[in-house]
Amino acid sequence: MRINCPVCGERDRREFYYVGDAVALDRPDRDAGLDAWDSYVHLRDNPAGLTRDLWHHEAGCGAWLVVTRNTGTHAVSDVVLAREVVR
Amino acid sequence: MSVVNLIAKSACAGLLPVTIGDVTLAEVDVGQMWSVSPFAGSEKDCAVALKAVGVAWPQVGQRAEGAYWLGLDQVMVYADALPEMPAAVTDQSDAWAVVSVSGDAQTVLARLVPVDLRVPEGAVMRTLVGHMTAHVSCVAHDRFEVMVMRSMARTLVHDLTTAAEAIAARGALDVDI
Repeated sequence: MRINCPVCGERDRREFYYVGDAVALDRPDRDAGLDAWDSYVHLRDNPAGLTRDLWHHEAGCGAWLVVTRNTGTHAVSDVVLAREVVR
Repeated sequence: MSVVNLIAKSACAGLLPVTIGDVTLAEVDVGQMWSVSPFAGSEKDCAVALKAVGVAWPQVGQRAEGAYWLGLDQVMVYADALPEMPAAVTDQSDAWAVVSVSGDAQTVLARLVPVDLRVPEGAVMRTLVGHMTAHVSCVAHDRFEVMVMRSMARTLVHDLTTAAEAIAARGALDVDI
């Protein structure tokens, strides 16, 4: 598997560290209520298909990336810098 | 009170230089250097401040006059002192081991580095050498410089030496592979 880092170009997966679902970018408001926080902290989908994950290019430029990939085919369809994702 | 004279010791002291086959490994004395991470939106101001002391701001993945790209929003600058600028600046002198690989450097590094090394002169990459994070720069088509954390100097020399020896041994077989 190779990930096309927007900074460094296409690099081997071993340079990257998987950090979990990109839901971490959608942190609820402080007073959003228990359901929203329960969902944010604990509940994750496990789709056979498109997922949106955070990866860290730890052995490269150090960027945090949002990687859209297909868990069925392993195809990576989109990679963007996490800081450029509109929240 | 007596003055203690400490003896400066380079990262690869006693390990390099070595020549194996067509490949020479030598330590590079980089002297005083600083990492510069501009505060958000301040890259231009930092570039202007550095230009005043003769340092050019490097593009992503490139070397420039007196500096090179170090990572996202981070550059390394060679200078004895730096001007004031809106950035997080850290003295990196003596923190790194830099080894030049000359000769058939691409073949040696191809065994250790998971990137395509057919890059133009002046290109720099953050990547891995074996399991170590490293900074690899192309000085000339037959000369690369590899930079790792100083504590990894001996491991870097070992990895490069092993790779060079394997290539020299294969060359000595005198067979087409």
